[in-house]
Amino acid sequence: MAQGFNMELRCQQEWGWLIATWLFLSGSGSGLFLLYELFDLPSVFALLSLGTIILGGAVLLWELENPLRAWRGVTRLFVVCSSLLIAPAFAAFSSLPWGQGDVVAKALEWVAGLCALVISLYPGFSLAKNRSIPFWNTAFVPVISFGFALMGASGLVLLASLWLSDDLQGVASLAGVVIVVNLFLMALHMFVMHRAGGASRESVRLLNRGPLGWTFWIGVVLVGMIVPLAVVALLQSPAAVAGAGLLIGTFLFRYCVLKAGVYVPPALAEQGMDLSKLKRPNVELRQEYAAIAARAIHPWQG
Amino acid sequence: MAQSAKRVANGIIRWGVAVDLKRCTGCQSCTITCKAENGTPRGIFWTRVLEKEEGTYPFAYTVYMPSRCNHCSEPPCVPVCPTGASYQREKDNLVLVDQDKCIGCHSCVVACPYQARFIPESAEGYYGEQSTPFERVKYQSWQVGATQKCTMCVHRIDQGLNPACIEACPTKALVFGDLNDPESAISKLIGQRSHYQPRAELGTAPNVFYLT
Repeated sequence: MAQGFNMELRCQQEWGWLIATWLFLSGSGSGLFLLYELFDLPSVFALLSLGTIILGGAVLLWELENPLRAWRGVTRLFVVCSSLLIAPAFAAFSSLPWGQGDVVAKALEWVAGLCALVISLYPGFSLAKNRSIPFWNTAFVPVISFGFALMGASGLVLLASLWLSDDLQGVASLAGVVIVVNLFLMALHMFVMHRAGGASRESVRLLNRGPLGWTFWIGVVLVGMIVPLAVVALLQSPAAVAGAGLLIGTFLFRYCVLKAGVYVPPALAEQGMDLSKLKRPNVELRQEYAAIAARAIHPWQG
Repeated sequence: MAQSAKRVANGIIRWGVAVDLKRCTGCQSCTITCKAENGTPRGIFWTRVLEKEEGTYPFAYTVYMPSRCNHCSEPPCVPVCPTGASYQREKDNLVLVDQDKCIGCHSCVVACPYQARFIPESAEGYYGEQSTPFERVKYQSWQVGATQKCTMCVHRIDQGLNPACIEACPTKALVFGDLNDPESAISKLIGQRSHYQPRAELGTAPNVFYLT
């Protein structure tokens, strides 16, 4: 990588498609486990949740420069607990000594549920703690991110309606509510960031203009939110279409938020800073250099 | 009590750099000296002088701002590290990276508001696949795929020497010393001159001071 030597607003270039995929898969997978617990969905959804999170972990390992040194604790705990929890539901493991309603099963369910909650919250907080990128560094981001985790999870459930005959009206209703809340929060966040100016405004500008603007407005807002909202609110029957839209929108949202991350500029590049006093007349410089030659400053001598 | 306050209370050294923006001529001597001292990868500069054009013709001029790791007292890059590879030394405030522990997740690179952390993607030198003898020796101090950054020439500091960039500055625009020692040259300079700490509003407690 070549570094710029100019003071200018710069986007983060470190995280792209792969991290967006990881955030999407881990968020949607853990959100799915929460929906599984909340709506008492069939065990296949717990298995799907587990698979999605493991796939997300694999993507993360692929992205890491030194993958053999890493493996996340919470994800590992979730994988172990949820595997043990759902194993008795499948014929091959039916002889395991815990089943539905058992104390051990309840404990596993709680631990796996808590881990799923942590994993679904993690993407938002991992972005929000970056003080270097003001667009991420707000309380809105974890909330919106959690909302999109639930949207992605709802998308997975609704898409699965192609193969399952279960009544998914509850999940569809939840998806509709989450879409409306997320639309409101996103609009508010972008308004606040635009008003904040500087790097925050640049992030909003990136989301509104150029290639990222098309991805955001067509991919996230239209395909990922408006269309699914219209489908679940008006049509209800083609739930798979809404599910596919939600998944596309959730994935592109993760990507857009990452690519719109603009660093705070170097302090001297701030607007309104008086730089004219740094320009000095030659006479003053000559006097100072003469003084330096006579008495060099050396910190070790105090 | 904040970490920085604890360190002051314990009498721990707090290394810092004062950058006199009125003296810096943008000659990039610090940039090149750092590269020669630390053997940084191709295209990566741990310290560099940023430029900005100001004013309009015929009163246009350029201002220079040497940019580097601030070795913050509250470094935002350390808590985001999932493996503890990024750490702050116990005996002073130097923020360093354990090359053997870094997984290359880029979290610290993104977290640094000063864009002072880098992950080299290859060990290829400046002349292609054929490394120079200098590169063969110096490139052993870092790993491809692991974060690297300004160490404030910790190997020199531990020998009682100034960092290489400080020694190389021809206009003495860079002054290095212990900020916890009120008698040090840097403390006196900061006490006498108007100054600012870059992005101090982010709560990083940076230890680089720009004298204006």
